[in-house]
Amino acid sequence: MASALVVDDDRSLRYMVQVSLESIGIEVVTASTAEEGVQLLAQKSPDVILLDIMLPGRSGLEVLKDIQAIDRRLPVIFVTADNASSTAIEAMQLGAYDYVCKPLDLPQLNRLVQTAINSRQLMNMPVALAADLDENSSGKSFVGHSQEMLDVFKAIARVAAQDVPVLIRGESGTGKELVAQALYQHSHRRDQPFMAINCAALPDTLLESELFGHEKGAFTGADRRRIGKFEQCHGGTIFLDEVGDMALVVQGKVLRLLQDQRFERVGGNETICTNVRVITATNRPLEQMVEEKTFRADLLYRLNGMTISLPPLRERRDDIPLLLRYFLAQAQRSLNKFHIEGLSPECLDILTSYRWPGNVREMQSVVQQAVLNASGPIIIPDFLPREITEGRESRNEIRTNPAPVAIARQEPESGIESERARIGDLGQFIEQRLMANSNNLAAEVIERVERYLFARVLDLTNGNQSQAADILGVTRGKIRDRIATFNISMERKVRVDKGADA
Amino acid sequence: MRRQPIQRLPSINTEIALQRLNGNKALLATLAGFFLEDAPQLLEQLHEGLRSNSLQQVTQSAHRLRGLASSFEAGPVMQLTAEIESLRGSDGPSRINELATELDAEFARLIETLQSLTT
Repeated sequence: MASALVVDDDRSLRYMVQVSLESIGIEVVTASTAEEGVQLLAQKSPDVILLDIMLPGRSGLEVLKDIQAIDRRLPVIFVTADNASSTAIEAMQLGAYDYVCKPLDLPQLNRLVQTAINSRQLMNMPVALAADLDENSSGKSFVGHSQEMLDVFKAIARVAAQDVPVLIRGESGTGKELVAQALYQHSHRRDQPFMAINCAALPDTLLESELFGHEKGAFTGADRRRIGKFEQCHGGTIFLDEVGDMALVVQGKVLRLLQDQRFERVGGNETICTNVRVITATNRPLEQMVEEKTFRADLLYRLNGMTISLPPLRERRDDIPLLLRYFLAQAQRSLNKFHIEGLSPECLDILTSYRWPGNVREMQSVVQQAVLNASGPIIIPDFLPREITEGRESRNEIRTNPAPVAIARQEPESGIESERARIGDLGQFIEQRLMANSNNLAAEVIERVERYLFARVLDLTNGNQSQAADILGVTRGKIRDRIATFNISMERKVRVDKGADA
Repeated sequence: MRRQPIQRLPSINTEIALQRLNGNKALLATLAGFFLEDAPQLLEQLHEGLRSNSLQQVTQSAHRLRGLASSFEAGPVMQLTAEIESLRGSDGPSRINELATELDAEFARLIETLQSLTT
């Protein structure tokens, strides 16, 4: 269980934070003085600290230094009385994770603490690079003994210790973030911070501010100075996921940072020097984007110093049984379903021959769903998610030419019309799932609605993702994520030839 | 700009306070209980600072009182403690005493409101 240490002399604050964090499954220990806090830090090894910036007799900055001397990677969130606390800004420059102002907004605090814990776990969770399978390992593992994965392991080993930028490429769900973590953990910066930012998850202006910070008044709503990740992560490693989604203006600033490790905060004149290693990842065709002038060629050359390409799961089929065993063991542990003995031969056959468009991430989810659905000790095809078994039945479809239509690959009737029919039956679907004693109904219904919504809007925009993002009010990254999740493809459907193979 | 006359403001804003506490009424009641136990002592420290002419003690007590009151979005007490916190030695004793008197009255009103939350 993740844990948090709260150091504050105000018992009301300690109590409310404890109640709030415990409600989301975080264990909380509290201290009312800096001395007690530092002692508990050594004894309890928490994953995050909430620290009052004005403790009796000691400044929060002094305590921060004590904490960093014990554990430089521990996220420290300061609690301040005022929004514009200059001490809090100084603390961020010294490497504090973030700060919150009184009165605390508990839902917001819960989210921030959870993000900090995730960040801590990214830094600490050992990533095993061995081909051997350790099903009892608590860390994350690259599982695979195929030649393709051995090549990836070797590449990681070769470049981890070199202080060069690394570009990780691969389809969605292949494990790019794991590679970034492994590179960090095997580098000489492993005792310094590691920060991951998903460039597709933030609108362009927010991303620029998140990375480089901003000055007070830089834009509407910038009511205080904010320290960006590049400044905060001095000495450490930054992982920019979905780098292909970065706006050109931000690309220019990142390029300059890579060239001479200097930048200015948004709306500021002061040049800030930093020292960070930049690891990036994308599943987008950057070379093609350079030709289309949506990605800077000079930035691509900089990022491309070393490239690690992750193979899609369908290109390393030898690893599928090993991965299935790994995720089965993991699901047994996490769902406490130790009575499950394994997969039936027919089930294994279906899973081995499936195309896995969502790669390893999809497999993890499928195994987890199958374990949840299983009513006996053996997982049979009935317990697999419908898209896996129906995809198998519909493999005889051929799709080529005429009018563009957004379809979901794994559906038996895959055009937008069938999606519309399916959404029309939503009430019936809910009744069926209730009868089947579903324990995941919300997710199932939301998925069905989202699948139709995204397919419909992409159909309307003829596959133009930017337009679809505008209509739906989401980022392009989210559009791409849903396309991958629901296997939506922009194809031209002529006929369905039941006799032909796909 | 002169602040809004505080007698027109409600003592606390339960709606905002609860929203920040994720709607947890039991937690709000517990925090009210803590306030009733801890805050009078802080107010006494503030008065002690006034009597001994220790501006530092006055502003520190006001700061801590403001922190406690903010959990309930207790506008009047928060306003007055913020003004006391921003006082400088040059403001003179009459201004400080005027604010302290106003604070006493608003503090009593706040205590009464919070007592009703704990019962």
